Amino acid sequence: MELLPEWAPGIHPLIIHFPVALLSLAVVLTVLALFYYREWITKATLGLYTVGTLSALASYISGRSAADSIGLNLKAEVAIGTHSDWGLYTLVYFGIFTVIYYGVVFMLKKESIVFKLTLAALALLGFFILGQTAEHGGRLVFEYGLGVQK
Amino acid sequence: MKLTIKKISYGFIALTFVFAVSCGGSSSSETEDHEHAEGMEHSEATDNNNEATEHSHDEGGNETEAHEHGDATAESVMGEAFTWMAMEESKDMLAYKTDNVMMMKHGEDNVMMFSPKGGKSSCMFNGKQGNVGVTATIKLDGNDGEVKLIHHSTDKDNYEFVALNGNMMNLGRVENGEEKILDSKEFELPTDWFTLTVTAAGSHFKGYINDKMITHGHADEMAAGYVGLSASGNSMLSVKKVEATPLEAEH
Repeated sequence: MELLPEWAPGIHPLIIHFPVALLSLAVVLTVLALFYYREWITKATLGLYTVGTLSALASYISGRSAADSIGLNLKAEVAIGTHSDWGLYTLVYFGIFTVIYYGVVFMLKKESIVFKLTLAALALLGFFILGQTAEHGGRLVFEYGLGVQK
Repeated sequence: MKLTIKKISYGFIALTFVFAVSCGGSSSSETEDHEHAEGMEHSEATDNNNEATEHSHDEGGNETEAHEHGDATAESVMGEAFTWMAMEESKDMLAYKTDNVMMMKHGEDNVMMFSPKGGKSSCMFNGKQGNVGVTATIKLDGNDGEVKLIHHSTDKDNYEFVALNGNMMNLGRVENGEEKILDSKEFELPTDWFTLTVTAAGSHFKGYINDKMITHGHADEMAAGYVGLSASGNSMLSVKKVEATPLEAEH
């Protein structure tokens, strides 16, 4: 049995939506915690950041493999590099942020509004980086037609 | 409870605002990038031929004899994307070492032959390129030697390259005379004509054989420079066509 559908150019487009959804939801919950604090929300947020970052790692690895296997495409070469760079920034940023979030919320048990505001601001910056990666990835498909059968 | 819902709503409004601002910011920075790319192409197009002739060197740094062509047409062609075909008149588009490089007929094709005979032969094209894809249609007789497709060359000690050495492809750069390999892979050397391509897009550098990627390396972006070819060793290198395409920035 084939794990990958015949029409799919690779595993990257199938898993790329996980980090986008999981990390976006984690950011929303981090901001929500400013106004509505519940312990289960912080636990869920940490879970989302952890799984989201792991899925970002899988997406980055599969993305590199996909980029290296598509063959020569001079028109999209710069766009592929830009998407790849933003993907790496996303992975590194959320990797570090998840550790910081765990340290601040669970180890140090900081609950003051200053810490919560700082975490929310950092989470929103991560959201911006994630958005850039997603936008450039979307353009590779819808503007340059990569991974789309002609 | 009512107050909590109000706070949540404010939270979502703030999030939407940040997202909207970030989207706006990204489009304006992309526009700037595009304008920069266009500006770079313009300066390449008006580059003068004197600089190009400085590159008629061999990589060993030996003094070599070179042709100079102050041809305005060649200058205007080479600043933009170009396709160079091996024909007598197309020599105007490049500066090259005169010995061991000759124009010949190979069947019905015009071919530029490099026969370095144990030394080095090279030619450089006029017109500087920034982000670029260079494809050479070549054939190698024998595998005792090295072929380099050069780009971002500002002088003999500073350039980037993809090199074929037997069944090994090396992707690298030379900075202040020091060679650094970014990626290296084995591949099957075609016996007939094939295309050798190198792309430089920002910090990403790739080497292709017949449009299939073999090597992929990363390094800081280098200043715009010249494109060229060099051969060393005892193999005979035949070149039918060289195409250089400036790589588009996203708009």
